Amino acid sequence: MTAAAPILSVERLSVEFLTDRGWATVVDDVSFDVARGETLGLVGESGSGKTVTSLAIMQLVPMPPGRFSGGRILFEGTDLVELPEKGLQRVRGNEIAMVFQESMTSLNPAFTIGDQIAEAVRVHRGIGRRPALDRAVEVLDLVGIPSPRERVHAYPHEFSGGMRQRAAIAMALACEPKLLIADEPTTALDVTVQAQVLTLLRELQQRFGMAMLFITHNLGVVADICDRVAVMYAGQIVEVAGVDALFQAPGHPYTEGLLQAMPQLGRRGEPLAVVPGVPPMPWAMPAGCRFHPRCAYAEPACTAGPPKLDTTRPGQASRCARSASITLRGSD
Amino acid sequence: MSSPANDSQRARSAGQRFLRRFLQQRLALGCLGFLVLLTLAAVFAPWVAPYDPLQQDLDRVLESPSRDHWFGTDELGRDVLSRTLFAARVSLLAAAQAVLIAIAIGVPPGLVAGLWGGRVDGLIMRATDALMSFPPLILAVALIAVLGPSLTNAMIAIGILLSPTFLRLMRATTMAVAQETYVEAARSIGCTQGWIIRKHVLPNVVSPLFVQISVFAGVAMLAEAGLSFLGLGAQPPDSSWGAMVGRGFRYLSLAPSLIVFPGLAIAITVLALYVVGDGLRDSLGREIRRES
Amino acid sequence: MPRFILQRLLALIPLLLIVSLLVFSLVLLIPGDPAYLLAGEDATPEEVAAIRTEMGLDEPVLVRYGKWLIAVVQGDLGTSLFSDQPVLDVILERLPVTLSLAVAAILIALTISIPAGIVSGTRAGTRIDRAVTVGSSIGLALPNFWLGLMLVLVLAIWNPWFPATGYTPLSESLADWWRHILLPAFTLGLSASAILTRQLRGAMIEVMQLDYVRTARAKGLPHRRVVAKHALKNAAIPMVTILGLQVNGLLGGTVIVEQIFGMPGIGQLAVASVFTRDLPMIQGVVIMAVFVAVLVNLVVDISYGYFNPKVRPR
Ligand SMILES: Nc1ncnc2c1ncn2[C@@H]1O[C@H](COP(=O)(O)OP(=O)(O)OP(=O)(O)O)[C@@H](O)[C@H]1O
Ligand code: SF4
Ligand SMILES: [Mg+2]
Repeated sequence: MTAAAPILSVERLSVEFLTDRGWATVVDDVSFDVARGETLGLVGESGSGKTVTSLAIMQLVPMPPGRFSGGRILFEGTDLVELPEKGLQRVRGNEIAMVFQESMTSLNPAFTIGDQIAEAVRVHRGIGRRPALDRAVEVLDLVGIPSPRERVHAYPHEFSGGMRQRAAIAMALACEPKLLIADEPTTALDVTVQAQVLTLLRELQQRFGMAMLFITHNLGVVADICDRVAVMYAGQIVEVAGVDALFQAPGHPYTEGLLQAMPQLGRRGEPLAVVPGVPPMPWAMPAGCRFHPRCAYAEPACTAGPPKLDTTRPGQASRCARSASITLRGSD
Repeated sequence: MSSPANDSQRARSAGQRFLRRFLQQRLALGCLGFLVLLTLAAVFAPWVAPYDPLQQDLDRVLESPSRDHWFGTDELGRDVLSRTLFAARVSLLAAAQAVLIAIAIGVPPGLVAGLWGGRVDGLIMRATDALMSFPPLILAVALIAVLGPSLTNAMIAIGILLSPTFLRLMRATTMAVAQETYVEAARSIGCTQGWIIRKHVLPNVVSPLFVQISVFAGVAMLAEAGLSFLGLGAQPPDSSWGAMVGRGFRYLSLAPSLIVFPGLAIAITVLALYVVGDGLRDSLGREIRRES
Repeated sequence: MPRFILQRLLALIPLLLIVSLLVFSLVLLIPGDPAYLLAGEDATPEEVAAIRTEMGLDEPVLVRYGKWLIAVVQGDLGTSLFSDQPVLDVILERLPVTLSLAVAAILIALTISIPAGIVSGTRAGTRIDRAVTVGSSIGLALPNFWLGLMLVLVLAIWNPWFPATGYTPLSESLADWWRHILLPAFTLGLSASAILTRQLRGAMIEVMQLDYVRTARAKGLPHRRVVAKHALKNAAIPMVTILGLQVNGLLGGTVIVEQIFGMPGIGQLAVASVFTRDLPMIQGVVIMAVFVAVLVNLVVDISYGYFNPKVRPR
């Protein structure tokens, strides 16, 4: 386990969205730390609140329809929730950068790739157009774009999907952030490109000692790249553990389900529909343990009250009322 | 695949949903109410108006609004309020006329283009594009130049100018409907074009048509007012709001009320038509809006 | 690029042919014998015959159209029945007035609609947004001739800050041109600015929710820059289309605005020619107006490439 002071610590974060049926809590009392230089994986089914959590860290949750309903986000000791917009602008893209899930639409079609990378550098470093463009060439080269000097003048539509995702990563790396949030950076890509991008991220992370919050559906990828893992279900963290511990001895029945449903390494990550049943809607959360309608180990006690996230072993915590009395299977 | 009977039922209930949604829009309903009142006032102008609109009083010309004459008097001492009420008849009727002409000119070729497609469609669309490349008022002026200045001719000109939008609307709806499987099926079992139009195209096009009619009634009213202002529309002794402003032009500094009131009448009426149009558009369900 | 423009020009030929046919057909629409009508009510039979020969009314329609078209293409728009001057000369003399009026109106429309559209589109649902929306509805509903008269009344007669009528060419004095053109241009441009504001507002609302705007914010760019650079350039694409459509409306509107403000442009010429029954002049004005409108739309087409690199020709 990493003993160093966390660079990011999310404390009791809650985010709500206004829906047709009133305010729905989509991120509920979420807490976790990311240490310097560490990679934390954030895993969970579609709709579990991974993207909203990362947007909350960037303070980019759309409001309306969203709102914060509690919690702190401490980045190097500063609470980002309280930080005024000017201060946030200094943090975004500079100290914390984000690679978005939607690589096809997250680049602006009206400007060249180089321009979009360079503008972040210009804003944060206060340097001129030429040196900023040189920096763009540098990072494009870093992420493995061939002949970056020419490609820097290309428009997004002239790039393939994989190249665009690389460009988005380059854009995030341009200012050498201390924390990179990568939201399913490989889901939209085909298998070979996926593997390349992962390798690239791992290399870059080691080279720059950058901390990373890596969001994915795919536990296979987690094993590959993460130090620790937080598992989300229906807006809550249900388990946190070191990656080896999680794979060998999961502490939560949902994690076990995910491990059983794990796709083969290197194959394209499919949505984890293999855990039987569907996740609940934010406005209709089951009472007690939110997972109980789908849980093979459920007992009447599970609906009595919401279980707490309790430490089960050093470095491992699970939100299961029965964690002491059941033994779960890890991956083989 | 839904059966044809099923489908016309679906269309009818879509119409009902449309109506229900519209009835929830308060501002639009208010404006519709205003338009109804205005129409009634125009129809019953002889009973509503305080004076005979043609009755002159040369001792009291170009007066400002007063208790006797709420809107003042014109250069012949006629009551401006009464004249405004009577002019409403001309303005409303003219707008209706122009929209009807536009529908008559636009709808049939739109149907044909949508149903037949191919070369006929290409030709019709080319002609439509050409028509739309004219600056509208200049073309209207040219048409009036050859037909002679009169309100009817002005309305014909405006109707021609507005027709392409109706044409496009009909064509788009018809094409969308014609591609639906049930219509292809209906055609393959030998249903006539007339039947297809009545049962499938018309129910789908009615609601968007209402939106367009309402907005274009406003556009037509503005265009009529403009032409009448120039002396190319309503001819004396008939008078529309635009014609009133045109005559009042000469007395702009002496008696501004001569143009203020008819102008306001135009602006408010057109605004009401637009608001009703917006309300109708907002009442279109997603399912219809996509097609229009 | 030149090839792209050439392609566009070639694509215009069928359109212009249909337009010319329509303009030519105006003569055919005249009820009764056009020669009588054109010669005036108390013309002698000899005069009528002369007109008939001069206008070639004895020949078959297609021949007449052919001759007319060839002449038009060579720049011969005929002779005014009213002043006996060549139609083209009269029009060219007046065209600058109309063009400068239209250009000034477009500038005013953009000056109003860009800030208004940005402000209301980025603050949708707020009080200022509602104010802009209501304002644009009113701007659409106001008859432009009435607005013009009200402006003259308040800003030229009651407070003599602006001249009520007349026109000074730009070449003579920029200040005078501006003083003369401001009220008419505002009158002409208001409805266009209302339409453009609505359009830009809608586009801004849409664009501000897009992923790349979020990316731009995630880079730490200041809000102003996100709006003015990333959102605006994309929101401008549909606005350019609408602007192109508005040009026709603006040119048409000059008919009324020039009349109110006593400006010697082609709009005023068109109205005057209705009363003098000067058909060749009217045809000339229509042709010139379409020509200008088509050219402007071509420029609009080309400017797309700036806003949308995907359609940029290589
Ligand atoms: N802008 C929004 N408005 C309303 N609800 C939203 C919005 N964004 C997210 N949500 C809701 O918040 C919940 C969590 O969504 P989130 O995008 O964080 O899921 P996710 O874990 O990232 O899923 P995925 O794996 O599909 O990306 C979902 O129920 C979603 O419907
Ligand atoms: S609390 Fe009960 S239902 Fe919930 S995960 Fe544990 S065993 Fe399953
Ligand atoms: Mg997500």
